[in-house]
Amino acid sequence: MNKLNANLWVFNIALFACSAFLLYSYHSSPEMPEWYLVICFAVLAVCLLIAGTWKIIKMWISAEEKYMKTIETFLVIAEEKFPHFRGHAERVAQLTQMVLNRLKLTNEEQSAIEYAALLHDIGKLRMPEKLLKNQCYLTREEVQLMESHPETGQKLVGRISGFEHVAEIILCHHEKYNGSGYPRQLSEENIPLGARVIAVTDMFDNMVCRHGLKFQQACAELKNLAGSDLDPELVDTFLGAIVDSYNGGVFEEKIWASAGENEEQCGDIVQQLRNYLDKSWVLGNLNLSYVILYEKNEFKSLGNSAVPEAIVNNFADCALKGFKTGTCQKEFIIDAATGKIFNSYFMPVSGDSCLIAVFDMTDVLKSEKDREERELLIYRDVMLAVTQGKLLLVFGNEIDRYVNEGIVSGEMNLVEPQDVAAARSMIKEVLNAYSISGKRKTQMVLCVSEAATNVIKHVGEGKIRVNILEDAIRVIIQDNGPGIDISQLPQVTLRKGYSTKLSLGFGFSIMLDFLDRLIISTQNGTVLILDMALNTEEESVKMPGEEVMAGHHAC
Amino acid sequence: MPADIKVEQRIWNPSNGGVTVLKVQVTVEGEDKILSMDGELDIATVDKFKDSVDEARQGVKRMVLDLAGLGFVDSTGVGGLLNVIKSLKKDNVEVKVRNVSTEVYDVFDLLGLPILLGKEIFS
Repeated sequence: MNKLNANLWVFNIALFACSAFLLYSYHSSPEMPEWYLVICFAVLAVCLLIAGTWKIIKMWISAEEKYMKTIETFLVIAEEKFPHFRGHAERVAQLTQMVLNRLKLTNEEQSAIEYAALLHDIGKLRMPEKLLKNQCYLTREEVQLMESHPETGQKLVGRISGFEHVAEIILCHHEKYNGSGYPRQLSEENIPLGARVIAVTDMFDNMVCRHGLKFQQACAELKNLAGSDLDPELVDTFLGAIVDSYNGGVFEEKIWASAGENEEQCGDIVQQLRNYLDKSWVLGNLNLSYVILYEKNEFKSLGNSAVPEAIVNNFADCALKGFKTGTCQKEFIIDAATGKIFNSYFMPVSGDSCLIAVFDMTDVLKSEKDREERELLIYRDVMLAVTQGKLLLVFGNEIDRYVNEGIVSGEMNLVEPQDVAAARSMIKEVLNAYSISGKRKTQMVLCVSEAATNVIKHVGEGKIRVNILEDAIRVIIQDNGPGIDISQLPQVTLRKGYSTKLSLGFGFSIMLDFLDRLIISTQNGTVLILDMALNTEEESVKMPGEEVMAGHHAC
Repeated sequence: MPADIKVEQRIWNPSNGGVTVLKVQVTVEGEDKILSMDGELDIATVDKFKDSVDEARQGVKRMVLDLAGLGFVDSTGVGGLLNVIKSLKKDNVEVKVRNVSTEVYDVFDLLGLPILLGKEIFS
């Protein structure tokens, strides 16, 4: 804005100087008619006005262009990083152009849509890299994050003035024709035309270049999606355009040239291996810290950095003696001061000397832990999805929230087999105060019997509590046992009567069948929560903040 | 929560009730032995059931389990039944199960007992 002001200022001075000069020349030759002066003045003023305004506009355009260039550069960088994005934006832009040429649009509208096509995935720039690489298994949180890319894109592009419409199209490019898309669940004509066109071309490019569908297969798939995900009229227009260009040979030569290059690169086995190594989280986090020569009871660092005393002092005598027998030794060292964990290898060189390689394992172990947690989250999502939201695994302190919810209406210890019957009596008495059908009561009693039996059978001791919630009766069964092997849960949930072994399987299939919700926490002992809804028979328990994971995610 | 329901907080005492009882009565009808069960079949009583069958099975060609008085069964009880019936079949004893209440049969069905043993066993 400062530059604009400065420009206006220069322009004003120029105008002022001109008028001063003209006034002077008129003054020095008074025989000139007055209209001549007026015309001169007016022409000059207009010229100056145009020149000045032009300069301002030009500057404004160049600022826009700079910003656009920056965005495009980012886009190219992003595409370079993630092979399956490569050339995607450009191909979608070209396909979009083909469709637009068959629609009667104003130039303005057409260019806005073309820009939107080029920039539609720009919001993915803000996504963490690992999310874009691991396309197959995403947790619910990650799906949510991925689905925010249209909004992020809108914000990025919305900054350019005059691009408001482009930003709007980008925001809507994952909306579906039947209203099941995101972020705003718009449907039919409520979705901007540009976004509907890009939905078609984006889908087509993903099918062909990412999922490897043949041309005809992709066309057939698009037809299937017409009316549900995609605008049927635009699908027809697109297919008309693409078939013409396919028959004309344009399709393969021009548009798919860049995709073809990709395939060749991926076909290179060395490249594949390199890609694989690049992705390896172990190798990525493994650092060789020190190489030490041990000779005559002395340690000599072979690298630039000195070996900290803490490490040297921790080398166990047995490892230092062991190598003398000619065998390699390995040892873990934990540096209490820094909290770092090292893995050291002792390789004998001669009878009384050895080489010691010290690897810093801290990051490897940390990423292993992160990975485990990630897998647990994915596991939780999958279990929640396959049980239609019935079975929820919770980790860490999360369980406290569920245990402490509601009013305690009964509690007892589970110590001996007879206590299972006592637990059944307890839940019977609580249920009798509510208008629930006899069948449902019997089912809840059975579930309590199963859970209590598990404690007596597998742990020996525990406790059971009944909480009354606003809309459900909750039974909480706790023990300090070794925990449930949650890897058994899929078989239990997916196969009824999973019963080769009379342990976990039986009780769990009963509980999953009859309860509205089953919550399991199995770290540091087991907490099992059984929920039965109170209000109506069909209504399931409200699930605070938990939704069944979104399905397959097409980008 | 409905206003007319009072929930008092207290510690449940097992002596308040709910002791599993299972009575097994053995009668003879011709060559058949009839085991009539009365009560509940769960972790506390399943061993008693197994012992009763073991006592009664000697030299028997046909055994009938009459479940008319069985008010409750859970997966532990079903597991016990399954093992007993399998072991009887192994000794070529014909087994029939009769007078199964709807509630008990629902549990059998859920755990796949009719599939594991064959539906013809339930008369």
